[in-house]
Amino acid sequence: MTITLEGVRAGYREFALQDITTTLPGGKLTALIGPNGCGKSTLFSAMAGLLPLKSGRIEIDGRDIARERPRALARHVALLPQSPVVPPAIRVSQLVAYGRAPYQGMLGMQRPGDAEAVTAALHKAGVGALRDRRLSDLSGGQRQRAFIAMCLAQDTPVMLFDEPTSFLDIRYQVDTLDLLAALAREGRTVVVVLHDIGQAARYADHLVIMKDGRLRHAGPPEAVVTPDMLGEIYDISARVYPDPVSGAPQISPEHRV
Amino acid sequence: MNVARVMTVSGALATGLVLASVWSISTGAVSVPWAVIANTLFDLEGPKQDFIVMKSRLPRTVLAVLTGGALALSGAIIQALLRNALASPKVIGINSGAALAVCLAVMAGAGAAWLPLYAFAGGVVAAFIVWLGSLRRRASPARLALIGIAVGFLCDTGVDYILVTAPTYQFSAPLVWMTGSLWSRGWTDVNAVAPLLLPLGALALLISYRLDLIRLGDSPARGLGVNVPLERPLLLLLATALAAVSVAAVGALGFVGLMAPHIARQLVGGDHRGLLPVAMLTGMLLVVLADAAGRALAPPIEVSAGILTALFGAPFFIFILLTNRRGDT
Repeated sequence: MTITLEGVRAGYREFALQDITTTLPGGKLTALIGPNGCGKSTLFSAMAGLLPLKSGRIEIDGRDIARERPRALARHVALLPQSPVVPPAIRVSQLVAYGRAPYQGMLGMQRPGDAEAVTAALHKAGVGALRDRRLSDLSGGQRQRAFIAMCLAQDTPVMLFDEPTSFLDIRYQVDTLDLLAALAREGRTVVVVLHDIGQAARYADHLVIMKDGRLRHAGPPEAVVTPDMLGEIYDISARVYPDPVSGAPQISPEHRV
Repeated sequence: MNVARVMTVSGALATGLVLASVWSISTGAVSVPWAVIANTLFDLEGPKQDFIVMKSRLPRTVLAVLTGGALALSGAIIQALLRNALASPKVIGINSGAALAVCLAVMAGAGAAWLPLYAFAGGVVAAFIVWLGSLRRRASPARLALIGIAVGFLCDTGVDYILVTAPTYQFSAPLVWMTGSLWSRGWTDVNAVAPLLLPLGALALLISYRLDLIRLGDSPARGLGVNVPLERPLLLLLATALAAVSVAAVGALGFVGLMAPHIARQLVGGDHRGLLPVAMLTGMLLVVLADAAGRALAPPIEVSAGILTALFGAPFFIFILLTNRRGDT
């Protein structure tokens, strides 16, 4: 499912999005990157339907998300915002079961297939062994993966993640990014906000680079991660070289410019 | 949710509630033996106590059950909406607004019979001001609680001013009301609140799962298909109505709304589909016990139920928080 943005303006003064027009490829992993305060999280909120647009439109698979009812949208788009609230006295399996809510009635009674979807999501996110543990007893990284499992249980064709690798050590960062790449290979459209340019370049199929609320570059990592881009966006002078493992462009900063 | 556990706990609480209700009907200035209560209630052969049982203590106990349940449900909803374990109906200004309205009404010379109406109006107005704050986009739960606390302080100041400046005799009745008491309540009060509290309570149980989702935060809830900007104010309205009707009938029984949801969370965990019914039963039990104990302590003098819920509830509350090893609350 392709995500199309047309002349999108949204947000608050300092994080406002200025006239964003672009297309995010369906069935691929897209990473949104840019310096702090560039508007990437605002763009994330706009795509998730959390933020009303001042003008323009966002279409997912040809459907205007502003016109979708929240429940219908939740069957197409799963989202993991930054630092969700950890509810008290809830077990991991219960949290993951919330992912089925868009398909259930008012009381959240299980429907056929829900239990299997929850179990599959728990294992896919690597928290199968933690299913009966209380969320409040887990480490930050374990909680983060439990929330990712909740999104997986939602089983939507589009999945949006806002900085899912923060709070994770390198092992779980790799796990998480591998998982997102695998979701894209299954044919889902995955959009992720990332801080680390190297990780974004290595795992994403498509990069969207923002600065000051504007979209500055978009395209495959090989095309957009260049010394010129790093100077223009991050004010750093850096060398770009192919990653010895994947061949994706990696960077070594030299100094600020 | 552990359904078996919720059922067991609910069964135990319901049994306790029945026993507490029988105790409540038997105890007081004139004590009525249990056999006489049974004779009166089920119209059996043998000695009966029609007046005390049917006209005085039964309606009072029914009112305690209704308002205790409603305050507990209201507290549980508000704690979920504000994502704050310290929240209760008092935090959104209901108790203070009701108290101020009652004081103003007494100053203006209103009759005692009208006080519940003024209390209801005052509670709703205070909560409405807080509710307006919740309509604002990006009104965080913490901000909502702060508005509520500020509105509460403002009303409390007004109450203090009136109590300090007015002649004392004028305020003996409002003072009893403000501590929360079921003294001299009868079927009229039950008939006034039951048609409101029963459907509101049923509605609260029906929306319990929405609270689970909303408690995750506005964005995650939205991601799971909850229309947060619409549902949050409606849920706040529901909690307000439950508490304001109860406060109007029995006064500021503030502690139940804070304590009952916490006790329930310790008993059955944080899933609101289990938490809400268990909190409701806990609230019912607490208020029935407090009211009965208030009459049993030193008859014929009555101690307000509000004073007793705090007196027994607070140490118990601190005990469960200290012994809670899970760090849930």
